[in-house]
Amino acid sequence: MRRDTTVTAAVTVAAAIVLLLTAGGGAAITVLRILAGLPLILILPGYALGPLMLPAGSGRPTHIGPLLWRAMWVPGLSLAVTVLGGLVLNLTSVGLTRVSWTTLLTAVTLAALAASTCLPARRSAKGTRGPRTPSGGGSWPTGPLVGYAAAALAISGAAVGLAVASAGWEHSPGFAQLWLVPAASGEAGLGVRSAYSGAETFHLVLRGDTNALLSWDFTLGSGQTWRRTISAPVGQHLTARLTITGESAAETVAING
Amino acid sequence: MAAGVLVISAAYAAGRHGSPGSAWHAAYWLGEALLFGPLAWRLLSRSGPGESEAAGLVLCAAAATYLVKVAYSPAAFRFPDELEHLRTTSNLLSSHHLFGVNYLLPVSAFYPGLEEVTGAVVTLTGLPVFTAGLIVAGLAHVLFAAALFVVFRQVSGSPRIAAAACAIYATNPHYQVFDAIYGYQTLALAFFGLALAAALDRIRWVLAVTMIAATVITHHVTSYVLAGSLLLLTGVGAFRRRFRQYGFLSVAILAAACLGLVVLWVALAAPGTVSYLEPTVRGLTGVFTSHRSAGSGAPAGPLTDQLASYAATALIMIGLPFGWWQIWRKQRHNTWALALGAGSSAYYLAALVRVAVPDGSELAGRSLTFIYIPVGYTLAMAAAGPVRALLRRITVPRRITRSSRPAFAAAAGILLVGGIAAGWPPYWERLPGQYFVDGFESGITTEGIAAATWARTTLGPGQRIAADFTNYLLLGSYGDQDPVGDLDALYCGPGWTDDDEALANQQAIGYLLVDLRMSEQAAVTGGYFADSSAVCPSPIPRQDLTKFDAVPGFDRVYDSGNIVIYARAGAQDAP
Repeated sequence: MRRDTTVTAAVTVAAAIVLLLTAGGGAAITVLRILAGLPLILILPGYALGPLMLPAGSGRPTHIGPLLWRAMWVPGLSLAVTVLGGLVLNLTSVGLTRVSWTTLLTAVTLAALAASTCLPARRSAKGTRGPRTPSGGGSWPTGPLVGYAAAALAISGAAVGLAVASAGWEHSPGFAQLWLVPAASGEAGLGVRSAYSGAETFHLVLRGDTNALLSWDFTLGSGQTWRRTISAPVGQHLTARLTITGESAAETVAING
Repeated sequence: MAAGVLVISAAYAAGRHGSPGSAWHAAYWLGEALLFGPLAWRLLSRSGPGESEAAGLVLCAAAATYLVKVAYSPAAFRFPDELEHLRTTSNLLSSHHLFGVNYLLPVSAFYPGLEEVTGAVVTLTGLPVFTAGLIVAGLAHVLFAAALFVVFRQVSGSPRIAAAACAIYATNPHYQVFDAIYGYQTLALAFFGLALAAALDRIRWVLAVTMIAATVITHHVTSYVLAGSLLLLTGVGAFRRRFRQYGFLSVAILAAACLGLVVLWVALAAPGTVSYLEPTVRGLTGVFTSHRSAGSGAPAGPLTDQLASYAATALIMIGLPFGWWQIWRKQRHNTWALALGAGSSAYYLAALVRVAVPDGSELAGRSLTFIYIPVGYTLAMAAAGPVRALLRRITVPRRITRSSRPAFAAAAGILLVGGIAAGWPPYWERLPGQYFVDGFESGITTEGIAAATWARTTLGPGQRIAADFTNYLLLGSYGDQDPVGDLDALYCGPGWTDDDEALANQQAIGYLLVDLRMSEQAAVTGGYFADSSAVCPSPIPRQDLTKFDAVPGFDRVYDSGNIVIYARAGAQDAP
């Protein structure tokens, strides 16, 4: 068995164990699942299938370097396996779950690795080599190129960081959500949620057909919610009116109980 | 290139900060120049890029353009198509099965490739759908560029021509954003490119069929174009009578296999595709019949954008025959090159559709994603041969330069600016941040998302809610509702009529969302609703939108200032 086959199988099994044994959890678990899950979906199946699907007789085209050719097919095949495998999982009663995805992708990867070890050594070796390798097509970048790449990554990271930071700058004057929703058995749900940037004090009045029934004054911070269940007898018209202290604009909801 | 992304990101940030002045618009264009500059500079240099450099430049350009899209919408899905696919993904994640009902884009449920991959990433890693979607779409965008480069490189035999063809392709109006969004076409394009790459030189059967199947499952139109491309290759092979040479009988079999898979998928899994695409096909036939709409194809926007768009179109139309000449001179024995040359002629048809068909701009724009593939190659061949020779003769004054490089640089600039001007997002939201009611990405606000989220948590999922276009998208995605977005008739007019009541009953409307901002702003897109033929005035009179307060049977259950939701008594089950 080739060394990289053994390593790939070991990585696949390790990823599967992590994914099968961990669900939810804190930041450390999430990082672990990302480190295990992304390769299992995007790299390992394609890496394992490559020698099978690109055998000796149908190697890469004459002008294409091996690195680009391999780098293109590994994620490409992995994505295709996920798309086609999802259809198979959909036919099962379990469907597309964490366990079924992990089982499928691990099984495909290990089966492909096992099959590739059965290939004659000569075919495998020829399959990774084209008739002619263009100059420089298969070499890894070295020296100053690594520095340029690091600088490009840093600048790109800054660009994305700026974009993410600025996503919160979009101007919004803030608003409050007021609702009054009939519920079962002659009751209704009354609620307010603040979406202002800071704390605001609200004045809420509930009126019946003719007069005020109840009123509340309360302060909510950004994202906080205030709720009450109120009586809404059949046939009674209820109106709730919400104002912010010091402002005239009001929000109104009304239901017929 | 990275510096270009940073400058564009800064321009976007300025837009969000509320200062999208002309300086920041200029910064945006500077960023685009910086992004594409290195690629153009190396292609125009005397020595040209080597093998690795050409591939690296193309892949870096793909990654950089993807980051531009990320910078435009860095925190959440905002593009309408992204919200439509978000719903299909949510359905998959909640039901663990495919083909769930999606009222936003029913056909997307029948082509679940994108959602399967994203769902797998979400399920296994625990990442949010947005982050998982960015990873999948980004990978697909770069993979497509790699596959294109491989195809062009193999067909042309030159890394420089291959990189030039990819660079020209990258100027297509939808490359930077629409073909990089979280949409099924983005992933399908990667499979499309890989399927073509699998058929280069000789067919790698298992690979090719796998990629064809993945394309067919992921996106309808892309799979049709793939079948068409393989048929074109077969046809050119037949024209050259070289069936035996290069295995073009095999290509014919592959084309038949692709067609068979397409038909099989539509018949067994996606019969709704026919009704989904039927209006588009009917619109296309308008070119050859009397269905014409004067002026519908004119590119909208400022005069500079229109001029750039027309200049790019003219440049391509003039340049293509030079490319055909060069292909015929140098590559008449190369079936792939001949097929690419022949395919590029579809550009003239797209131009015709643009001016002659109702909604032709959108149709033509969408088709350019595919047509620019042969166009890119043919123009790169033109630049490599006859145009270069011609320019060397006529470039004046000769004392200043004998080089054709300035002319090529100018042409590249025209293609880039013209492509962006005709592409997405439109000029009025090129920098994000300004609110436009029902204005695609610019119509998305925290208030709209909050209303949709409230509907999900308080009313429960699956309610039939009538709404304008933006809120329809938000309710269907963030809200997990089954909204209806084309009932403009319910909103137009001062009263609630018997016809309105019948229509609401027919559509089983249980709730009705009113965005009062429709009475404050004219519709920048031409309408407030999903139905493009809606006839509401713009803006809609305030009393038309508040009439529901006085309609018997309507309860005003939600108010957030701009958005009001009414509950309607007597709603039936969804049709």
